[in-house]
Amino acid sequence: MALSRGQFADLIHEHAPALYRIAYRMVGECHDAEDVVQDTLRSAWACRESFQQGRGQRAWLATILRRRVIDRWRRVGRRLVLAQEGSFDVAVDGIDPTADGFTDEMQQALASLPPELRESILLVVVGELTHQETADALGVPLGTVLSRVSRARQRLRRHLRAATLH
Amino acid sequence: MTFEPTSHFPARRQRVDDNAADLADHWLDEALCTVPLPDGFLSRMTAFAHETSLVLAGGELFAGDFHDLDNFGGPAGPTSHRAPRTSGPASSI
Repeated sequence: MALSRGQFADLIHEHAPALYRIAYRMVGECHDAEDVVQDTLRSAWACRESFQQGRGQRAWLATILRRRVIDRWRRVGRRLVLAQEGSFDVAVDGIDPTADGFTDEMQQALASLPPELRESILLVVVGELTHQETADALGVPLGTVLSRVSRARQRLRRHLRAATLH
Repeated sequence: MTFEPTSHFPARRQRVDDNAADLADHWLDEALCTVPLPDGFLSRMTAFAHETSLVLAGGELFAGDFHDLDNFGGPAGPTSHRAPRTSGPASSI
């Protein structure tokens, strides 16, 4: 069943924030991340005939987003997912101790991961895809995703621990 | 001599280690997800989507859109080998 305009609007309300978070963690810059989300929504609408209600909407969108990120890297050249200075020039309610310093640290930790580990953990943790959905999106076996996520967590912990000690 | 409450109880020490690892994972996941949304993000996306759904009535696709359609759930291969599509209804894909 094709995606209607109303369903498209619902999808955006439900999934756009998560798409932005994945995009930000992948490209490391807020304006680029927003552009990637826009490209993703544009592609999703263009592909609306293939939309299937109830079939992993987040996974469908995240798969499109990942490909838009790859396309972007091909156009502008791949770069590290390091946060740029002033990346979080946004208003945040209250005091969030992880909003700037630690999050930038996290972005650096992510940049230290091999791409396959990074995208696996981002789809599972930030995108909240199931391991199976992530495996389908990446075209790898389920066990590979489980292993990648586990290794990514270990490496992130190690990197952050080392950063804390220095 | 320091007192190590779990040193004589390997099973308990293992549970403590597991709990610590779970906590660390939880903390890590929270930190990964902590990305503040830009001001007005949702409004901009809603407006963009509204505009897109009006403008792209017939469907103007990225080169990679074919891949998104054909291989969702399949291998993630290159997307640039397909010719960009600039016209024609999306339903004919």
